[in-house]
Amino acid sequence: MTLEIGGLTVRFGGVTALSEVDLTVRPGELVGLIGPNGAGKTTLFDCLTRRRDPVAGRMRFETGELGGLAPYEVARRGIARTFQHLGLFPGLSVRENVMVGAHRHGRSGFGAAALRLGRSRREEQQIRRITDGILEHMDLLPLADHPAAHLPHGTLKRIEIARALAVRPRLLLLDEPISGLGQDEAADIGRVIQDVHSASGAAIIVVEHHMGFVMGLCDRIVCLDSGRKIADGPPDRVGRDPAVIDACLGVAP
Amino acid sequence: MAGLLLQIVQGLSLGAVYAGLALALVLVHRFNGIVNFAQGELAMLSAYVAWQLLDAGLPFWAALPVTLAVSLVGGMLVERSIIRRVEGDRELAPVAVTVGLMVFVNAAAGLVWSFAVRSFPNPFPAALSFGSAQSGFSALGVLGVVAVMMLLLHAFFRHTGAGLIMRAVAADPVAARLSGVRVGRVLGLGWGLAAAVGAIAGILVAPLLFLEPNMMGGVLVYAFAAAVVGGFRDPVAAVVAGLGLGVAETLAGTYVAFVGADLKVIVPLLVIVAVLVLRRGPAGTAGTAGQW
Repeated sequence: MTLEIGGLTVRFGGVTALSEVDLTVRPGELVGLIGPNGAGKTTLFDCLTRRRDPVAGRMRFETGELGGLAPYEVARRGIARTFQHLGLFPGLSVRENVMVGAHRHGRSGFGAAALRLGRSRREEQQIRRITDGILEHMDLLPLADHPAAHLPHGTLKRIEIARALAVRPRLLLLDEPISGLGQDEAADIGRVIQDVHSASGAAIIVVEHHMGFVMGLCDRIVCLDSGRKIADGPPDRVGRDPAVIDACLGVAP
Repeated sequence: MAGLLLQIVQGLSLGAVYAGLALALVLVHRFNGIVNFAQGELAMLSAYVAWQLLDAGLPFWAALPVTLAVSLVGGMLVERSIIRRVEGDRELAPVAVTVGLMVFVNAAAGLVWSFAVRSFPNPFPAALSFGSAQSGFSALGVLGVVAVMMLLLHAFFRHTGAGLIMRAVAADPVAARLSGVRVGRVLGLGWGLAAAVGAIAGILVAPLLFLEPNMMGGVLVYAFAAAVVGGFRDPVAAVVAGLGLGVAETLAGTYVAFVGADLKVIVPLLVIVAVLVLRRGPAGTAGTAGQW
């Protein structure tokens, strides 16, 4: 299994944000995570990336527990994430943004790595090659030297996905990748996700409000409501589930 | 006319010292949002380290890199052991801690080295060693060292992998962490680099002001004013402001009769007030944020 979550519970003060959530993701699976505002979708991502501590439950990624890891170790294990609101480095160029994602590849020994000053030219070139490969694949090469700001929103989203890919994740967490996008841009991101999924073979979890988007994209849909998992299955079955339609009223397909 | 030129060169060299310390303040603030009131005292401590090495017989240009290395490691240790505990706190705690550190380092230096004023050797050759020509020479030396330091810093941030990672952390520590960056280590390195940059300012100013624990107090005021001009974020603005303050101070002290030597410290304070009034707080220059 790529990811196994069992009994995950998170509380903020008196509010239970997640209540005994179980979730399993197989290698290479594309899972849609839906639910109304405050259902706990982003909280789940925050737990997986060690930004938030659950009060109970366990999270297992491949062969290791996630629970005791420092936040920076999560990416090194092979989990990458994008944000609902962009998390790019605006003062850095598009290429530099992706290079930050790739910086762990082609490392020299631990001694040189300590301050990251002793990296050889060959290693720098390898990082550059990985970066430019991703940029080319994502049609971002013409923008490589442009600052990662003041670009169309859909392009910025693509840059963020490119940076996450540079980590070479085996689990990719996409938090509302089409929020704030128009129809055309959203369709474009949909194609990017499918493309990334087939090209990288990584398992992907997509959090999205827009049910139509994930229904058409994912192999499997999981629905959260008030911190509880209320549905888990193939898109057509979850889409007809009365509890899901009730919870996500107004955004049903 | 030659006198005016010499005044300007001397103002620039003094300004280069202010610029160096201002750059250290900006470095720390960029990485963890803390205004380090102890930056000047850490630089003073570095100057004492250099003095101790010179006293032991090391030549100046050997003592300098050793002092910088000690300062780098010392800055990282201060961050790791003291600052880390208040790093998340955006309000008063970091201010109280760095002010406390300032008082502590000052008193500790007084305990170890006493408050006696010591002369510090001028590293620059005293060729043409008579009157104003010599001071012009050493002023150019100070300017040169600070310029080289800034170019190296720029090259480090622009053209190395470590510099790229540090810029990413300054821009968005959360996103950097999720890309696998050990943010804590980078914040420590930021403090270390700032301490090393401040050390250069301290060593360069020591021959001019004479070495004593209160040496950097006045310099810090000017460095603060320069850093404020750059919103504590923009290194280029801080450096330019530091140079400008040095020249303004020197010229005002010499040519404006009522300012003289005693009133010239008002110059940086006026700059701070003017910038704060015009900009309404050190909000920074958004357009250049992220540009090192």
